[in-house]
Amino acid sequence: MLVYGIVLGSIIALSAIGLSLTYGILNFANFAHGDVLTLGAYTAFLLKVGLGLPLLWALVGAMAATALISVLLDKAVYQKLRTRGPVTLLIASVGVALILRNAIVVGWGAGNQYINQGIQFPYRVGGLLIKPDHLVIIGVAFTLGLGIHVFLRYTKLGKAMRAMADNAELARVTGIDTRRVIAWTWIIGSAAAAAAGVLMGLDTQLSPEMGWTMLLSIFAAVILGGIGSPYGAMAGGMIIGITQELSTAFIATAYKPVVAFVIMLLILLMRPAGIFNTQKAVRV
Amino acid sequence: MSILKVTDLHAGYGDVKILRGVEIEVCVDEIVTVIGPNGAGKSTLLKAIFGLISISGGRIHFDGEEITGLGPNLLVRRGISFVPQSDHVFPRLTVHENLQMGAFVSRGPMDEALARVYELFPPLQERRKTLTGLLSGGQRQMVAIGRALMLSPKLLLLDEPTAGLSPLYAKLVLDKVQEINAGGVAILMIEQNARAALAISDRGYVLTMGKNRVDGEARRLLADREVAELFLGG
Repeated sequence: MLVYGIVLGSIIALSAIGLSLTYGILNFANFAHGDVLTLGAYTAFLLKVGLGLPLLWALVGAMAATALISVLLDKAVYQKLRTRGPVTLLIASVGVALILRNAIVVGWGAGNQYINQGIQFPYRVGGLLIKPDHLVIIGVAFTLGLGIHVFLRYTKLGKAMRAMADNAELARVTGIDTRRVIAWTWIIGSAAAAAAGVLMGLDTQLSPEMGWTMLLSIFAAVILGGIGSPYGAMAGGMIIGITQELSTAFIATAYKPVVAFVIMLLILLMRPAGIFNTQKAVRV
Repeated sequence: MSILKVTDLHAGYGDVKILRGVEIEVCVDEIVTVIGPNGAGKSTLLKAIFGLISISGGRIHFDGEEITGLGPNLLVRRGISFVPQSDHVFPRLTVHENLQMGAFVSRGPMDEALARVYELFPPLQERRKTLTGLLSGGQRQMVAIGRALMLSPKLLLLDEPTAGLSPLYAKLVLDKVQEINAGGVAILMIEQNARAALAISDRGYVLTMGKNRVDGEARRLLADREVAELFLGG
């Protein structure tokens, strides 16, 4: 069960990074993030099952295609609304979410699809039973998470991204090219979401609602880690994933998203700035 | 020789006009201080020069060329830097990263610029890996000014550099402003702490209601009875 928790946690963490980045840098809650995840999963399905590409290439292709679509969506929709404030952007993102989801229904039908067919036999490692897919999921999520960490920590553009999330006005005063930073935020955030979608499809099956249903858990992870903090989002994702899976020992499986909701509410009530909050120190 | 010349500047926020024909000139190697009551348009003046708000009339020349209406990303390349009054650091970036951001637009190596800033503000060298949000107000002001010096500007705009600082730090910051100026950077600053700021300035301007009221040599403004009574707190 812990393994399942880590698998789910990796997927949530990966998608939470993107949501947190867009929240921090563009300053709005992107409700289309879940459907971007779905889009990534379906693109990979198209590449792997439709064109017969190996899984790795399908994953890379899905990430690239989804990133491209997100950048285009930003140019077509969000860019024009940027000055209108966060609520307008939020509502626009709900519209984008519906468009994406229904486009997927039109393209692939409303039923479930499977990236991997057949039953896999688990390996026995120590006392634990691990399915090969699970190793792939944890491995890919960990690699991408590490990649994003290195990018944010050590590259000039990554630092500029954190700077803009910290203080967008000062970023402009400093002469940082904010449009380039915004484009890269979409690229990285949605590529990570696409990867999360592919991994989720690998774990279970694809459905047009998969991203939308995950969105609550992703938001919970972002809030848990402190809004706008990508590292917090990674940790938050793990915590939410593991708690959700462990909770199935006590409550019915169908109710496990409730756990995310409860954690989110508790955090909002007790530590609204997230568990790793540094704001207090900042306001001295 | 003048490095910055502001002519008949009109600007504001939306329909609210704040500046109504301000004239300012800063010469190479000068420190110029703008004082005046709250709401006189001092901060607006700096924001208008730095392209952060739209200008409805007038012209701005920098280093012999017109820069009216240019945005910050172009102005930093030309040699103007701006230190806002508050929120002037990236709190979740380290001191070192804050300084690196100051040189974002340059592609070349920044070691020399970093060394220069650390030499000017030795306490930052020790705390280079600390998150800037954890520093004291005075040290954060050093980071903010250091960030603005990373591209070796010809003109530095400072919006109330001593606001909220202890008297000790306020004096330190003004000393550093003089030191920066001695290194060949012209300075245009706004200060509430008018007496101390004028004491280190070459010239001063008094703004009221978005217009020039008095200007002249800083020494003369300090000695002027009317200016002292109205704007220097008696």
